[in-house]
Amino acid sequence: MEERYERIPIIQLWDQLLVPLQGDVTDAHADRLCDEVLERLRRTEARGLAVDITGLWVVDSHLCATLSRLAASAQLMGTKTVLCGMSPSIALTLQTMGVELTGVKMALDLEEALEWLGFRVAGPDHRRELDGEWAPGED
Amino acid sequence: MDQYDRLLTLLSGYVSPLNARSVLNRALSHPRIERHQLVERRLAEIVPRIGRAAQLFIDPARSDSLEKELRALVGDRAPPTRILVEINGEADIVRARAAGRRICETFEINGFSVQKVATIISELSRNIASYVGRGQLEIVPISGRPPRVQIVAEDAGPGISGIDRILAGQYKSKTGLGLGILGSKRLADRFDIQTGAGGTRIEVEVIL
Ligand SMILES: Nc1ncnc2c1ncn2[C@@H]1O[C@H](COP(=O)(O)OP(=O)(O)OP(=O)(O)O)[C@@H](O)[C@H]1O
Ligand SMILES: [Mg+2]
Repeated sequence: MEERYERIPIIQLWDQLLVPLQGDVTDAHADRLCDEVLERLRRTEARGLAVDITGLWVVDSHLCATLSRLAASAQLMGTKTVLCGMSPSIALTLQTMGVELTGVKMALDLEEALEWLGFRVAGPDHRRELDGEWAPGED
Repeated sequence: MDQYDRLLTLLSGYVSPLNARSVLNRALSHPRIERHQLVERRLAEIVPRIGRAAQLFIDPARSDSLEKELRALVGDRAPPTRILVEINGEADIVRARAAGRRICETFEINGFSVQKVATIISELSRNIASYVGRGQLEIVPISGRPPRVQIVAEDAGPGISGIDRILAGQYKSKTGLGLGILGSKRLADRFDIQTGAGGTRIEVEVIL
């Protein structure tokens, strides 16, 4: 099988970086991700990093090790890292295996991750208008 | 109730009983399949013919729904096919995971069980790729209630030294978390390992 070169999107939001991971990530892809993100952190001096794994299909022990390594390296560079979007079945799988993502801050979804990194929604809370089911006090 | 009656009942939900019989007989006519030959394993062959024959009588708005019911009937009995993936390098791990996904899809299963299957496949094929270089992984779907998936990883490498410690959770990996084998065992409903100087064979089963 020929090597497919997949570009890893690294999105800059002011002084933070956002990395959305998609599909089936190969080991080479994950290693390159680590290098590229760290390089971008160095260049941009970003203060925070959010890795969104909502689009990932499988997260195994190797990928967990890579993500922990990324977070630990970012930490050493003074950047805090948050991982978000882990599906319930992936969480159950890792839990059953006994894999611990030590030292990695987890958030439920991207909104929560960005809030943790210090983003604030300005103005009225639009979610209330968008979602009729939204009950006051649930926030 | 034989297959003929089951199909007749299904069709009667969409067309009149008289038309249902005529659709079914028409579907069985070219080439001719006798009622007693209409066993489960021939359903896949007959179902598309029923779909076409029904077009003449069915309310077009409902033909999608009939199509779906017919497909479900076959999907249920689709002969499970095993997939053999040769592992020669890291790129094959992705191929193996994709094969596992295809197999789970034939059972229309998703969620936690698919994750279990995919993760075990990933761990076992990575070990072959990293520590032996070459080997094979076989993924075998087993129909039944509930269906199961068997994963057999085999290589002719040097064997795993200290397997007892690995399975006891006392192993510290230099290259990873050291949870590939133990994690697979914890995810599996059945786990067998034979390893020695001639190579390694790991067989696991996951109930879907
Ligand atoms: N097929 C194999 N042939 C020979 N040695 C193996 C094989 N699979 C695993 N090993 C050895 O057993 C050890 C444990 O494997 P295991 O998959 O449990 O953990 P790991 O590969 O070290 O880390 P992880 O899988 O968590 O990334 C490996 O470090 C390796 O030395
Ligand atoms: Mg391993």
